[in-house]
Amino acid sequence: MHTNLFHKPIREQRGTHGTLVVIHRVALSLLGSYVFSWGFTSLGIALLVACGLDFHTAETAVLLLAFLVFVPVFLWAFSDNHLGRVWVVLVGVALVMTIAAWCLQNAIL
Amino acid sequence: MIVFTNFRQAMTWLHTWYGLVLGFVLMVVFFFGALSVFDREIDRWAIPETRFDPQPMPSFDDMLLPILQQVEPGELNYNNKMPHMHDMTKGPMTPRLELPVEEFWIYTTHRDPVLRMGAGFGVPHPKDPEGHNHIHGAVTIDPRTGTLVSEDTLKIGSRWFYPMHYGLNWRWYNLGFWLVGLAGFTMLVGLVTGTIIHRKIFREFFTFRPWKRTQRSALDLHNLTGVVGLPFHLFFAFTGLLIFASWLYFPVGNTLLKPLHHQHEILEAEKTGLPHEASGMPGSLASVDAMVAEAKRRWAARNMAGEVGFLTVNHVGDRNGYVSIFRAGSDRVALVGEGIHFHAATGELLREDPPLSGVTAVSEFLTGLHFQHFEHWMLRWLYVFGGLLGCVCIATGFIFFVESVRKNTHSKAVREVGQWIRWRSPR
Repeated sequence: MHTNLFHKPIREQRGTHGTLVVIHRVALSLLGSYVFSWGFTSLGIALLVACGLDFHTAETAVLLLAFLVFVPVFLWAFSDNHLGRVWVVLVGVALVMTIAAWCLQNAIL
Repeated sequence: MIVFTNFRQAMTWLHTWYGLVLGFVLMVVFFFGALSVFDREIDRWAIPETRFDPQPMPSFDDMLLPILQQVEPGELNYNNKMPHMHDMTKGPMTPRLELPVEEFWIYTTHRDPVLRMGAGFGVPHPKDPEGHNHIHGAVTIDPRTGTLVSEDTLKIGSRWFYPMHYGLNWRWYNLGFWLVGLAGFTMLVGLVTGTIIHRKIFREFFTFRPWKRTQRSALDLHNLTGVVGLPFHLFFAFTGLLIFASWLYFPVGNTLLKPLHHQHEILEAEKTGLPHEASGMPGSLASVDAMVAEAKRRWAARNMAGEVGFLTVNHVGDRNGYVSIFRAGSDRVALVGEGIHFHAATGELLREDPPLSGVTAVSEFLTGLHFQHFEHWMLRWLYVFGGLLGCVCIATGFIFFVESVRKNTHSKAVREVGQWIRWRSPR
């Protein structure tokens, strides 16, 4: 039963389990695309600073783009019926980008 | 219960649910945002003794400095922040009135006849010595006489309507800001999904059938206000999020990338010659009025004569102290700028800020257009109109939803929400 929370595609479900699926899907799409945008922002700033831009200019530039990334990623995440894939792409890539930003920062300092 | 056979169906679900859940917050934001266009004018209405013409900044040396020296750390600010900033292992908290003053600031705008200014006080034993450890105190004065005017709840425009539109006046764990942020994000999502749902956007724009049943005419009005307001609403939702992004929504510079940020501040201080830290040795303060005159002369020489909008004294009473003077932005979109910095003790010029980089200029233009501290009466009334249009758009969306549920018609998403509500309501 629990595997259905991740399984593709979700079939018509009613009752408590159906509600759980909805909550899973809503939370995953919103929080997942948020952490994805967080990773994008960190890595973007670190990359621009590594390229020689000063911190505040880099931050301003990337934050101008952050919401333009956030919205389409969120829309895709919510519309995709394969929640497993959404998990991997959003949370996985977010982790990779955040760790890369951290390593890059340590290399710059 | 939730399977989407196509992308548009998912978009309809998002539009319906997010609109219903966060539409109420959005309506508050739009309504109080529209009022905030005239927040300071509303203050004048509430405090009749402040109804006089805006004044240029009065003499710092004669009038402002003696007042600034009397400013105390705010009691509420102290009680809220001191326990978090003070390191308890170094003994009890420094009493409120014994905190050392570290900075002064003054902000003046053509929109406000009264002058607001204040001081930032240092925390002698901070938990995080690299953080921004300041307890603040502020006063409002009548700049013609230097007398204090009420700083209390009578400032209903700038102290209640204005913060309502970005934080719901709910400071507990910044939850008000987060709710408004989520609502702003919902507005962006609602506009995009709305455009995807209504494919025949051009035809629907010219459709209004008030004689039809409520459901139909509500939808027509929803589409009309949505499309007319689309650029306005997109812009305000986007820039609203942008204004708070680096502080609250994506504070990477204060968390993950804090070491990088801190290194930049130190390098920047070396490059600009503006000391990042106090020296610990006492220093004096030369005539700030002379510095203001010199700053104005330099702006005029650059062919951009102007008034002072913002002035700060940094590291007050320290040998590393310096004075920063920024030009008021009332004749252009961006807020204050063109900073000129002087050594506090000698009044010697330390630095003139170079022109902004392209990216920063774009960002300041966008956020400046949201803040609208410039002089343009027609545009300001258009802002009010746009804000109220947003309220109409959300309200007609609600009416359309209620009518659809009542008639049990229209999209799958609406039907689903209706079923959900019925399932949960007492029978």
